[in-house]
Amino acid sequence: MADRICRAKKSLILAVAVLLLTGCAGRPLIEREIVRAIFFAREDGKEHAVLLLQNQESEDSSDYEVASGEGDSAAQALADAAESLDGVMFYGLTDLVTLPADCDWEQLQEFASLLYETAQPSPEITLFVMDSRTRDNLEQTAGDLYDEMQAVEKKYRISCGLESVLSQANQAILPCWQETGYGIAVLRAGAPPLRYVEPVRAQLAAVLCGQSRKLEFVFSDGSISCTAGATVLFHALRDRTQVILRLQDASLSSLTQDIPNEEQTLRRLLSAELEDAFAQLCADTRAIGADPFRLGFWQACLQGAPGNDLPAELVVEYA
Amino acid sequence: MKRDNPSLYGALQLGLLVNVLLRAQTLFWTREGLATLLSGILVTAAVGLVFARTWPLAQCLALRCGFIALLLAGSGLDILSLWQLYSAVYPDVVNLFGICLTVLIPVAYLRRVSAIAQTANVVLGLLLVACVILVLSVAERLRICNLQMAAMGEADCLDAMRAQCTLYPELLLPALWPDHEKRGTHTVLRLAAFGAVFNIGVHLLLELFFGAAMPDARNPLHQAARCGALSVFDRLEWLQLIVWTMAVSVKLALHLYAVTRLADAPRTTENSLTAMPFFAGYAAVLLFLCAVARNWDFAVMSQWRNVAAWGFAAAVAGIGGIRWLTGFAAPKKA
Repeated sequence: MADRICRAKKSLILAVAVLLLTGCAGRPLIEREIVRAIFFAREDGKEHAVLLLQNQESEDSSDYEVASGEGDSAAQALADAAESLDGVMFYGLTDLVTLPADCDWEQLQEFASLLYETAQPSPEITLFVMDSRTRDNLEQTAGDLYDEMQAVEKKYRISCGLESVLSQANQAILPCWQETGYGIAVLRAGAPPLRYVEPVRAQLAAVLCGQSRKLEFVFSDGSISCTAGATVLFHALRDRTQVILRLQDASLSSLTQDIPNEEQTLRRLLSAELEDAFAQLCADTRAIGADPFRLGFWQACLQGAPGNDLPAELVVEYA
Repeated sequence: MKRDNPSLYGALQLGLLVNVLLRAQTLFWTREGLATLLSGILVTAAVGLVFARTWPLAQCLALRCGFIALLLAGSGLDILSLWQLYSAVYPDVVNLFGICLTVLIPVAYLRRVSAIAQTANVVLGLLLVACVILVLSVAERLRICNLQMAAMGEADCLDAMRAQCTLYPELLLPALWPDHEKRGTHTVLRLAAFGAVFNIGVHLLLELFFGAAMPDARNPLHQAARCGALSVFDRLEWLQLIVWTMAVSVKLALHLYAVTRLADAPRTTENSLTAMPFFAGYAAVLLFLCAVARNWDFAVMSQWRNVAAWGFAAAVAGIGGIRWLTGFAAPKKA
């Protein structure tokens, strides 16, 4: 028995010696730079990356620091920003990334690859297409922007994580940052991006592609306000695709004297507004060969063929 | 009787699950996987069955050493895959040595066959619960329209077939067990079917979650778990990590048991403890292997492991076949 214990001890000592000799002990725990958000920008032909870092010396969790870098590519800009910091970068808590205002599908792919390599595994990263503000402006406003974007994401129940934005092979829908609310960019491989800044179309597009579950806007020249939860159902028929938009707890109110505050009237106006917006969205996206609402998928599943040329209609229901 | 000869089927199942759960990237699209599912099951089950038949006839010192090397390489790969997952999730926090100790120390308490069998069943149950929680937590993000509609290509089908024909050591291990009771009825076939179906199920879940981005996702199952939320729990990936780590320990214990059988380690009864020095030696070898291979390309190592497993199975089948044809009498022991 004693002999066995002795042999076990020798084996363990040997194992530890081997580990020490082969450098298996790993790196010590060191101070890290916790990145909360990355803002990419393009200025004068150069790529810029502004990192919003958690200030670990402050007790206030909303106290941030900023680091920035530039380069010929986004990867170089990110590396340049990281080099300006002393600690090891930690992207595990990054939950927001903004892309340059003129970002197209091909550039989105490059940014996505970069994010998968550096910020992985954080698929919960929310993506926004930025407005055309400069790097200096970004450095000054990064902290406020981050808080405002988080607030918008919460308010409109937007779910535009990295994994959902990239879930289609040749196209993507991305929310665009606007001072009030959000817009929508439709990106398609080999086509110029479409951008909707008008709230009805932007929010309808976000709901139809599954990135939002809430509508909150003012329409009809600012005379009616609408707030509603929204779910979508697709019916693929032989001659058309029916998109049923079900609005829950819809709250409509007239903001002017011109329109009577009657529920039926307001609902009829809202339905007409949404149907117009849907028709415009379908026409625009078809023109660039995109199908962001996956109408072709439902046609293929239920009717056996994609039926990309079939008309689509929006039916608004109130729950 | 059951206490003397506990079934290791649960441990074998767990070993197959670990291969799928710790995969750094997905291997094929679900539709191609479904199309090649049956052929994959048949191929791997056939190889396992042929191996089980021919191993008693073919075994010799060189082949035993080869099998031990295969198991050690497999164990090392499992530890390294767990390490790469941890280092991706918690960079610069958990080192390889820590991971090695985390998974190897529990093996010291799993040196008895009955302990392996019982623990494997418990961990299998926990894994099932963890998988259900994972699916429930990400259910809101699973979208049917994320399934890809592109026409099936020959290259994609070949990739799926190649992935499903991966020969894991768990399909060869039943050949080592001493009696039929431990193997159970149609063990190899059930294992092959179970492993392939689970693999497809995970790929389906991930395709519903990631859509076209699935092949680019690193540690996709963990990423999906990280996005999941259930009631007041925002993130549940820690639950998955804990159970996966336990599963790796059970798998290592199973491999240790197989290595002791192959090395003819002294054991009074079938259910007796594996000697502590033997365990220490096993742990030391694994630590050394992990330290040496820590910077090697993980995908290439996995491919080489698969090639080695196929080569080994082919060699055993060839030698066993020749001996069967020439009327060679198999030795009594397994």
